[in-house]
Amino acid sequence: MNPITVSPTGGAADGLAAVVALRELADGLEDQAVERAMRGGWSWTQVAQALGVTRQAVHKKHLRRLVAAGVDLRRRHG
Amino acid sequence: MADKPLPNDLAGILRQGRAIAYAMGARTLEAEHLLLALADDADSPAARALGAAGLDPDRIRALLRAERRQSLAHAGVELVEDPVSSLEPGFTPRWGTSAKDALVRGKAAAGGGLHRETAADLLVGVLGAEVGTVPRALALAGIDRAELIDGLVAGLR
Repeated sequence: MNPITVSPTGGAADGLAAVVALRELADGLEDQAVERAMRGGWSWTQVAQALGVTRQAVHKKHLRRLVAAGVDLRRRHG
Repeated sequence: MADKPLPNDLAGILRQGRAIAYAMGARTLEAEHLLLALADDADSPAARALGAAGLDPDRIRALLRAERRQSLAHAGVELVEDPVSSLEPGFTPRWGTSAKDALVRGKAAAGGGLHRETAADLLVGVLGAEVGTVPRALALAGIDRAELIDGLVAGLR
């Protein structure tokens, strides 16, 4: 059975598009918030706890970006 | 992704699409970035077709922003300012599903065979999505996507 043709706007499309937009917004907010915390002296462990993810996950996702942004990450092993 | 080299103009569009995705802070290359790359390639058949519909790069960017804002508003979120991600130098956005799908539809528009696909075929592929960011942005602006595709296909023949 072929699926019905659907509209890109209205109804279910609006709800699904909201999810996409929220994911993108959350990504941008995470980048900004992590950078702000690290510039403020937070440790990787503290940031990970605040986000509810592992330290390794935060490190993997943000380390190179923060280094490139000039954030001083020395002595931040905790 | 491709085993065989792509036509020069298409390869250039894909490179430009990746650069646009990077500049926009996107971790994945999506169909909307390909659309902007196609519109950027002034004097190409794809850009001319978009231009005839009033879709220059600035307008497309404005429509994409309007789509995001409207979609967020549906969830009760109002943006004061856009929090744009800043990716590290050298980061390469990965292929997103919407861009892969557009490439596959473009290949079909070219009559099969990836090496035959041109930038104009890719535009047909980008515009051919039924739902998602690109069709939604165009629909919200009152642009007839089917008409755009018909005009483009007619111009290619």
